[in-house]
Amino acid sequence: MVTDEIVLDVKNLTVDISTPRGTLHVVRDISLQVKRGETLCIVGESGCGKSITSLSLMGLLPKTATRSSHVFEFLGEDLSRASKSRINDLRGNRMAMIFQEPMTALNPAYTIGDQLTEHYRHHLKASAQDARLRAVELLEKVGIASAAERLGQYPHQLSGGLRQRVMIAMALMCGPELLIADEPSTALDVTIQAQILRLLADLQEELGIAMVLITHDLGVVARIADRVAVMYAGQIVEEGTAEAIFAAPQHPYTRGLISCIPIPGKTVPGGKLGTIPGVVPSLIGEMKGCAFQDRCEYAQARCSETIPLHQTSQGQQWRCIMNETHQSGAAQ
Amino acid sequence: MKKNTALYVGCGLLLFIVFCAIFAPLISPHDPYVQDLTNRTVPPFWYEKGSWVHPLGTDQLGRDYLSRLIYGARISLLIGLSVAVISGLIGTTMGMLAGYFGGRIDMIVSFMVTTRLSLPVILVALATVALVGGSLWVVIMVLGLLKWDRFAVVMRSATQQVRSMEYVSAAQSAGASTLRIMLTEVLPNVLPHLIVIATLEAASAILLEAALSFLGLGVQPPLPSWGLMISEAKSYMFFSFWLIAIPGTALALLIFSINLAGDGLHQLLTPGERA
Amino acid sequence: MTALIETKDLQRTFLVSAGLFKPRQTLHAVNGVDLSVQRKDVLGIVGESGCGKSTLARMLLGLTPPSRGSVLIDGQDISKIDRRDLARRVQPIFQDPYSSLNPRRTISSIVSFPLDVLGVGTKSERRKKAIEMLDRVGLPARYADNTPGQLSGGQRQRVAIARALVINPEIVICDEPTSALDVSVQAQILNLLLDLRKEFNLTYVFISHNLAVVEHIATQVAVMYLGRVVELTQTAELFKHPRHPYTQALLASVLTPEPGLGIPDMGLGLSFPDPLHPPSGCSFHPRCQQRRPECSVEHPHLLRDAQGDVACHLYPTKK
Repeated sequence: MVTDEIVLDVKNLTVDISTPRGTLHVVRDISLQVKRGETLCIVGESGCGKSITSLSLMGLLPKTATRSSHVFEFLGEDLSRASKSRINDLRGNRMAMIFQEPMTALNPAYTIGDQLTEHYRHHLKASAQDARLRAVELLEKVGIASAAERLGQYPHQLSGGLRQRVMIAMALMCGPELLIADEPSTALDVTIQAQILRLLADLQEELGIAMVLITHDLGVVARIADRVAVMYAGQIVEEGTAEAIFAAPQHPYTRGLISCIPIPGKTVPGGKLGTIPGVVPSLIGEMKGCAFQDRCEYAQARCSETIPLHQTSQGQQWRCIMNETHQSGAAQ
Repeated sequence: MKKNTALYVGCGLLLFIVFCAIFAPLISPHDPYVQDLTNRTVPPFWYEKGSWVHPLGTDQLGRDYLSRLIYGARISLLIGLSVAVISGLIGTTMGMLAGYFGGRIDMIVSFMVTTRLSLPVILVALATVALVGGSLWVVIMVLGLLKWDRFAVVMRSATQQVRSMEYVSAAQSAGASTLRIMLTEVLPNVLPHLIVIATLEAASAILLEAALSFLGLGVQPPLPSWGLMISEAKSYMFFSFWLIAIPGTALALLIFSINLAGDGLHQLLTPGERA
Repeated sequence: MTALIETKDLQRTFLVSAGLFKPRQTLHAVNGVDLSVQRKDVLGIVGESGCGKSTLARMLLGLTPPSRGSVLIDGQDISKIDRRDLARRVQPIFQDPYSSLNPRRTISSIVSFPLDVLGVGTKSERRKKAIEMLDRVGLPARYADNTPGQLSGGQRQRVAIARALVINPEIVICDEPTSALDVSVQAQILNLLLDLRKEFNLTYVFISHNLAVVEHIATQVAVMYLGRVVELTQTAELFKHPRHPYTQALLASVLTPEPGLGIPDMGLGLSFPDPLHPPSGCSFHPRCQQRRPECSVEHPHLLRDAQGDVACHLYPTKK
């Protein structure tokens, strides 16, 4: 159930990373908003900046990165100028993150119980007893049987799918209002992947959390997202509800991406899949206009200037010289 | 590109020492073996009593110290190079075979490494010298036949890593023989590790020779091994400090330059990793 | 007509150490697989981790010898084929574009390597052929003297394809060739593989965990679970009428980019099989929604009929 309360509000987020070869403009002026109970999926291919976006939301950027934004609010609180200790208070507590590799995200030297209770005890000043009870409660919530026994186990004793469930339980321990999941099911087998995603969807429904899910898999996006943001070369090129984006994708990159995917029963077996020619442009140095123009079949000279933002009445937005009727006329 | 200062400084210094060693007869002011008992323990030129006739002074037998130092570089470099080559060949072969084939061969090699590690190098040298007498070649053989263990261990794990790469499987599928794969696919990719270990072992061999010669178990007088020079200067430590300081400094500089060069070479040889 | 590539009761076991003081345990990575691929077919092999598909791929390439059973290339036992002859007939394309190319070789030397090994032509002829092949897979000649580190994942995979095809093999074993690639690059590589198949009359064995991709490229599909083939049939048939409960679960978990369909619940439960201690009887029975009493006791026999192969107690073989 998507409510109207805005949990995360970000406007004009930019992240630059300084490298020996120059400044890498990894995230370029993106804006997003997530409401309570809503799932926003950020989808894009490798190098589009989606993972850095998630890290910057959690304040986990590397030292060489600089972040700037006009607005960066979490439940109305301005985080752009928040102190390190304030971010630490929020992180793991009111904002939680799940990572891609369950093998490496859990510390092999500590038991599941230790890792589950660690942040709960720190943030909420709970006793060991209370923390254990909460841990068992959450392990059961994520579908792990014999939860009490599991507390004493080590990560290597669990399969990938179970580890991912433990990660989800860990993220939920302190009752966060925002959950950021970076490719939570990519490293898992296909049948387990569906289970984990279903679990996340059910939990969100039950607990009313706002969720940001990063993925490269359009299938995952279609099935779990309320809203979708398509990223390319550090920019959000299109945004809208899942239905709208898949029914009528507007941006040439989105359309190209969707046409690439074989769908059993829909695409002709053995036929040609749609492709996007060319490669992702370098993120170093200034980019004029649209980052996609070198690979776009509709590119014109105007694409090197400021690109207008189009919007439909249902809230679908995209940055392109072409409007809804695919005319590259004057901007609305 | 980050400047590879290690490579430049290390190789530069090392090349300088090698140059001196090669052209020793041309650049030494005197014969290192000629004694002049009237001119014993003359200090180097920066002392009041010193002069440019003997720029680094003379030792307790009146031999020119600079000449002995330069000829001594030959001995150290010869030791370093030959021990690195001998032990390198032995250890690398064993390590690569163990890493590539695994199984029984790996077990045998591991057993040999463990056995070797239980032998203390100094005691073996002692025993050998007692049996055969000390000399430059005895030192080279003893060290060469003992110091292959690190090569074996490191090459084994490096080979195992490369073995698991899909390009090795692809080479097998192309019909390449095992020998060909080892030489053209595996060896170039474990070379950086080999270089680093070779430089470490060369440096270590040089120090060991100095220690053995110091103990009288290595090179015999009148050869100008730096270790021997330090040993001979023991009794003059408080009066003619330079007799120990000069070969000691030379030794330190040589080891430093070898390690630095090894570092630099490793940096050079490691191909750019994927982003 | 003799199948081009065939396996008969193929098995492969490994001895795995289970801990410091425990005795070594037997892992049945491939546990009795019968396959048959006709010339110019594409056999898709699907399965999740632990099903044995990678071990199977290595046995088809002759890289790992079977513990029991045999692999036959055009009727000939693979162990009796000379290493070089085998190379002329079967070539691989591996999954990881970052580990399938020797970082110290140039692109043209990587692609001409199979020609070098087989001693085909002179050095300059081999280089010319390599560059032709690179062009055919969409990599311009200017990349010939680069090293792999300078290429992207998709470009590297093209190099791997060029290397596999430069000696004109009959069979290409593709072990998850697009799994490590971005979606748009995957589409390019799949289109390329399909084109090359037509042009060079190739036969593929295409291993993948991605069912949508397999449906697109394969003519018949084998579904593997814990070392066994549980179902084998023509592609269209498998996707329309999957018989084995595991196949049905696998198909249901394919998340196509079609919004509004939600995420299915296949009721597979949490237990994930341990290949070292497989369940008794049918190895899928702990997770099967349609299990019966005999499923935990007896291993199902393979039923072969007009529709294909299936090993399940729901489809008993006639006594």
